[in-house]
Amino acid sequence: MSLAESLFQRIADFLDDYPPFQYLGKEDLLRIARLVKIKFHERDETIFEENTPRRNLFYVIHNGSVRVFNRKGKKHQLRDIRVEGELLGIGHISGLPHYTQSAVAENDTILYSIPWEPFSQLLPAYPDVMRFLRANTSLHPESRSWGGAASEMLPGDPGADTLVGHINETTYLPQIVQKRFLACQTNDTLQEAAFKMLQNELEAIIVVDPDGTPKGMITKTDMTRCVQSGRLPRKALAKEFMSAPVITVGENPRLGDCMRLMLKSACRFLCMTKDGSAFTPATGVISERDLMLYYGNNPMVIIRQIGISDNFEELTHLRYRADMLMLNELRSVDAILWFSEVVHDLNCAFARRVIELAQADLRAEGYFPPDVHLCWMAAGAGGRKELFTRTAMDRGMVYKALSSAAESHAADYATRLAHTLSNGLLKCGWTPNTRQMTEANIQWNRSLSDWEAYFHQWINHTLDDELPSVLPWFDALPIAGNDYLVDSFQSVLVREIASHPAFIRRLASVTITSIPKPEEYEAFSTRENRLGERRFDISHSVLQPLSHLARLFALKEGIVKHTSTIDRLNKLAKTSAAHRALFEDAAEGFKIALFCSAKTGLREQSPGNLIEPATLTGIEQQSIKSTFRSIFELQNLAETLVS
Amino acid sequence: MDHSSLSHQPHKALDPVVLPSRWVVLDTETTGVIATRDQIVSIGAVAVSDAEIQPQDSFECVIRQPYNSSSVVVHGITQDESERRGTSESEALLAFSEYIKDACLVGHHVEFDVTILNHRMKHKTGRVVSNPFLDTMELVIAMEEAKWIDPRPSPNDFGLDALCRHFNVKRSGRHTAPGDAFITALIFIRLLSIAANREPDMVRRLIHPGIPPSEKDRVSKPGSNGQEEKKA
Repeated sequence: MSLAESLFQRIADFLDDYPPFQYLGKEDLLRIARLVKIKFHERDETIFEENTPRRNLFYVIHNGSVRVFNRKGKKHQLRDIRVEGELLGIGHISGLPHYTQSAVAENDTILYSIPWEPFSQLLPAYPDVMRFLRANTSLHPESRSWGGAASEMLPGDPGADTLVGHINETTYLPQIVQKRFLACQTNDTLQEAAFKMLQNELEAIIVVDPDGTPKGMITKTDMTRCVQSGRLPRKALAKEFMSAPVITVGENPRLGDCMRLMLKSACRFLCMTKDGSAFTPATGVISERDLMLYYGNNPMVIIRQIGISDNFEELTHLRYRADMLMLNELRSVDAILWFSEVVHDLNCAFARRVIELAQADLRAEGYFPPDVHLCWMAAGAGGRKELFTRTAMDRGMVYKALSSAAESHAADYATRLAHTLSNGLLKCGWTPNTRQMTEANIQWNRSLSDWEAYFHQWINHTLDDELPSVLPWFDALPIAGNDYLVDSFQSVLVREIASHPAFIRRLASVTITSIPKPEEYEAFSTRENRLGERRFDISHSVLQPLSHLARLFALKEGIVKHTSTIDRLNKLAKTSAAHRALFEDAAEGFKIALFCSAKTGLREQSPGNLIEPATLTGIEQQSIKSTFRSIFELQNLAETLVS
Repeated sequence: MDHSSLSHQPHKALDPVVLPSRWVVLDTETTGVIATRDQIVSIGAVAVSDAEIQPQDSFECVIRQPYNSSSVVVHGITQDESERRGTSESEALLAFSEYIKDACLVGHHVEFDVTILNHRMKHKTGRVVSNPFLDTMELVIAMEEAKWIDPRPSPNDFGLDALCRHFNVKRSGRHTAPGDAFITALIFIRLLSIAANREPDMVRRLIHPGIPPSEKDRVSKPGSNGQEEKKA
């Protein structure tokens, strides 16, 4: 007769499935199991309340799920949703005397409570347990941050705020970068401006109106150009030589935004103003040099290096560096939009350089470009800016001869260029496209008029079973060359769809067919998946269905300029009052799924289709599950288009 | 060992508003389903107080058996094993009586467990326990009728397995006395907590006073489909 030892063993067996308990030795695990008490909490019942004294115990969820949040007045700011096996109220490790967040049962929940003191006595013997607990609380006490950033940040490691070189879309520029600037009046002389720059050892000066609003900028390059031109009258005015207009940003800008503005405008200086427009006084200057000094290893640097790289070997190395950098930077779901833009910028820079190298190779072989405009484009996931790794991107080319003389040579040159380009991409580590949807396939390397004929054919005559294979082209996006060619056939697309309403009915039918059966979604929640024994195909079950549905509704509304699924869904949310919440939810869900896929893909250098649910945080798991509901609701909406 | 608490005395009347402070959720594995004829093979129990399961306040014993009964295929305790791990019946029953003190006993179809315990105790020690008891199945039915919980999909399935499925309780350790007691306790804290938040008096009304064996000569343990709960 004894205490029910088998009960303790049973509790230990449960704990042993989850960190940090799985790091404990058997005896110690059993010792902890003997201290457990078990309590039920009905749905919506409070487990602990923010700012109340912390109990001398913490919790493990045995069954059910728990919402963790901060109260902001009457609103709740959701921090996490914890599920079976996850911890709650573990802030003792950070010495927090009060709960910093509230926890409420999301549904009927059973919790194990474990006294903190005896558990903490085991910690010195188990560094892994210590690391796990600290990682759980290092950035956000009580809560892991989205994307598990906190769980990768350990005490003693440089934190996100202190790590020089760490960037993401939420990193703000240090004050020192923003505040140093020089200004001169429009009617000051160039000599006066030069004197100021020399005296302060700065590379640029803002030319302002008497009210301080920026009118232009004079840089060292402008000065050099001025000297080189030989026109240097002593009384020349600043306004005559300044570069204008200036590119402006608001105060306290984010690094990611500055980088993108510089990349887009090809301008190495940004002028900071009170409200971010050129109509309020200048308050600072941000130079590319400043950014480089502070954030040495960043996409902008890599893109510039890509632009001057002269061989495929170096390009391969740069692309690998970019992948590593991206993996490091992809820390939160909210970064995914910025991230997809930067990856697209990287792909464009890469493509431009590969084309330049290919053209140089052709010139060396005696093939010179005829009088032709040409655009290399991405389709499918690449066109939607949702392809983050060097996996088989669907690609094509469109060209237009500018003279009748060039007409006969245009196709030949485009074909030669395409082959050289495809070979270059393969040399740089791009996965071969087994579906042959590349520029090297003559079917997808056509003149503008051919592409327009294609779209006419697809919208009017293509059978439903052929339609899925050409749908990637409805997401075409220019990568390099003359962008207007893609714009041109997209306007044909809008016209054709508008005049053939039956197409949307057919597209809806094809889209619905492509959505997996509900049973496939149930697989996500199985115990095997959650314990990491099985992988979940997030591409097949979430990304593809949502991108198909977003395309359908976007084309129905005549939205063709936005090819990314998130852009399409956000645009639809704005234009459709009746289904606004549905489209917004779907966009949020897609972001999370894309984040999980991108992270896996970059880490494994794979397409990132198969994820391990066990590696996701509670809130990610919950969000992906709620995305299934969005898919079904959008599917129901699509069915109304078929009838 | 103080045996004074084992004598059969009328149980103190329950407070009309306050529920018992200590509950003991129990299960017995037996050689058959006839409470007045069969033997107890093992007893498992765990206490619930402050609406929490208290594994530190638990009880487990195996009783030495003279031979293997047909129920060995259900609970898995062979005569050999009972010799190795077990204790005498009287010692086990007295220890259990001491463990439960004045707790309210809880179990799934608990009347069977209480009857066989009392029958064996009377036989071995001449005394019985008269603790009040509460049947989780009766509690589930009453709470379904009150619409405090979702109705079970199969209303005629009264087995523990059906409740586990309904309440999403993992069924590992089924058909061992401590395992079934623990599973029942997981279900009980759920029911108790929901009822306590609404009308605790309903729980109180469902508590049976202790029964002496003379009043129940023959109590069979019901099964969900006539098979599932059978001990042999």
